[in-house]
Amino acid sequence: MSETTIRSGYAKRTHTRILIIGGLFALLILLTGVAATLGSYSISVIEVFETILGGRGADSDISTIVWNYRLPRILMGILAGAALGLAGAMMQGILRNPLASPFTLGIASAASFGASLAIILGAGFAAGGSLIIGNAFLFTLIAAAAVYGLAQIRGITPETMIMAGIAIMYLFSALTSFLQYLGDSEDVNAVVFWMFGSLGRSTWETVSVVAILVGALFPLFLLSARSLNTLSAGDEAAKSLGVPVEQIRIGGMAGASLLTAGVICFTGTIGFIGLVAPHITRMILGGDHRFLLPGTAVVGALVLLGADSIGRTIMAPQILPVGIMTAFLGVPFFIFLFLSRRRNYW
Amino acid sequence: MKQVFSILIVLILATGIIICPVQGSDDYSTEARQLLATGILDHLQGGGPGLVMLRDAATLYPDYPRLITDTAGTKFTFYRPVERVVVMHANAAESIIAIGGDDRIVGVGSTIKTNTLQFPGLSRLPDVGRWTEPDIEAILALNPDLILTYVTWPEPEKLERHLPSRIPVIRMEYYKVEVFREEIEKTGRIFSEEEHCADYLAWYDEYLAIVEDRIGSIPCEERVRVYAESGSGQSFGRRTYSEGTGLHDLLVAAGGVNVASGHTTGYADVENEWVMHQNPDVILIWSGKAGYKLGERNDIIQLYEEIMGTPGFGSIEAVKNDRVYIVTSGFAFGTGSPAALVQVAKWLYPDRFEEINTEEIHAEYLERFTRTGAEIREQGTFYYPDGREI
Repeated sequence: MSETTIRSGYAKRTHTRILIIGGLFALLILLTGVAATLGSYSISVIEVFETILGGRGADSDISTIVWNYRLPRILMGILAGAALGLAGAMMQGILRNPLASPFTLGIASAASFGASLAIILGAGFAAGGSLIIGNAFLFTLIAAAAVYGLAQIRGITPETMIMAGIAIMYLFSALTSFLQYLGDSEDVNAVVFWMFGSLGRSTWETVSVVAILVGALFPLFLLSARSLNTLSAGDEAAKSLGVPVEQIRIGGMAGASLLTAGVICFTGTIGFIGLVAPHITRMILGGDHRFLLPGTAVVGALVLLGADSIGRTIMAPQILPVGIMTAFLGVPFFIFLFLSRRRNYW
Repeated sequence: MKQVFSILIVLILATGIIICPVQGSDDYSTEARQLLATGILDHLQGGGPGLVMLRDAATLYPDYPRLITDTAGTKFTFYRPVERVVVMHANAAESIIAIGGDDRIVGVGSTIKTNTLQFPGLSRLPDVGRWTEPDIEAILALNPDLILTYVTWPEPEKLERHLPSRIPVIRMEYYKVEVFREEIEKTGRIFSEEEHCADYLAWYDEYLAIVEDRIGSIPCEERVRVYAESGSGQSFGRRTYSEGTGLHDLLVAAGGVNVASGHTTGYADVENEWVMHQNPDVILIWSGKAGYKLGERNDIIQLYEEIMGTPGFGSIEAVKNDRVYIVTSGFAFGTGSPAALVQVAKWLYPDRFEEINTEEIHAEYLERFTRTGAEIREQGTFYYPDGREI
């Protein structure tokens, strides 16, 4: 095969991947439009778009519903899905493990413990939840630091980080169970609700925080894409090609933890996005992180927004927590993936 | 020889029961006679309650045996009054206090133990574990002749399975409207406190009748539309309470129409926009905070302010007309619920209850049917707004 043929084949594949990402993005915009029209208050599609385009008085009920409730919820769905997907793809990349995600590495368990601590022993949850957010964020970072610290003792390798992550996950899960045992039924209810995850608490302030985090970390992730590709050949190969393996691993873990913490402290634990979004994307686009990372962000956003839209309409007016819906969608998909994945797609 | 002697005693007892007219001729005594006869026959067949029980019932307690069927549907025969009772949950404890049987309680569940202001006396008794996780050894050490717990909790595998069959476990709720009155009557019979029980039920019935008299004739279409929720604000979501919940029963008994009826059952998480769409006349919030716990008044006020300040809620009739009300669990359910019923009915139909002083009704309840001290009467926040300065 001549060099020209290889180059043109590569260019074609690249073009196709960009087209697919563009197509997925267009699908996300379409879903956003549909989600904006879904809700318990009878508002027509035209009224929704008139409101968004500024054609309605800012003080009308419709304007309040669209601007204060629906749009922050939708944007949070997009940003949180993208962030959790990116965090999962980064963790799977740096650890070279298809099961790595913020949940399997103890990050989400730590957030749950932080929130439980605030709800059961603190006083923050009735005061607007700031203590819960702060605690969840803090404990997520503590868990990430603990995983790093434990792994460093035995040398930063994928195996040590995963083992440390699993240990941390069990520790924080046990601590959360212990707190639930101590708490009264109302507080335990609140913890359980928090652990289901919900986009219903989204406001423009929380959306802004997540947007800043995603906006700041996404370019950094993209910059490390080539190193992640090299890393997939193994630590030795990557080191021989000049990739600072440990730095990438520590930086990637810190970035993924920060993204996860920034999202789940506002939404509660939303499962499976971080695990399945990178897998879906890898099946569609392949394992090249230059395409995998942006693709995962779009797929994560699509899955989370889709799950939330289904969750708030399937039994309306009752809303099913989005954490449950993502698990409902994620588990069958994960089993499907497990049973039918193409050879060597990972 | 001993066996013959035993049979002879039983036969003498049986003869006494059959020949002697036992304490009048009402149905109650007839029931006692029949139960004792059954007990004797069971004993003669090698089963039954034992000779001591039969002798006590026949000679010392003419109103015994008594048959009690608990809310779980299990039948129990009591051959003499209970003397050592273990109570697993606070709803049962407050009911027993209301009928004056608390001097027979010897052990309490953790929620009673920690609730020192509501149960100043009972909270000093030994702890027998949580109502979900009983401490079997602690229960056995108290040698109880009765255990009272919820219908569902703890599961029989955690309680009855580990206890000798001589200790009956009666399962009653004491907070569900549909069985509450019946359960109080049964408790009066278990504790032999019929007189106090009748006092309490007279008070209970009086206020239920007052509410029914004044709201019973309101046609459905003129009834006040109420949105009911557990008030935990944004951080917990908007959780509405519909059919099958105590809060729904309370608002319906007070003459309201739940806007969630027909949409959801039990409790369900809903969106703010759904509440706006329903546009209720009144918003009724339930909270587990405050009540008999002092120092949580601010939590209640924050619930009120959260609703009043929720974007878009300003256009809801209830918020526009300042008809947002909060009841605490220590007020809305259980033995004190008639006071809550009158209060909620007055919130819904103020003109029909103008001359009724709801504060006095609740104060009377605390005074007559609880063991609480002055600090609860003076500082407790049981509902909001309650007319007190912030």
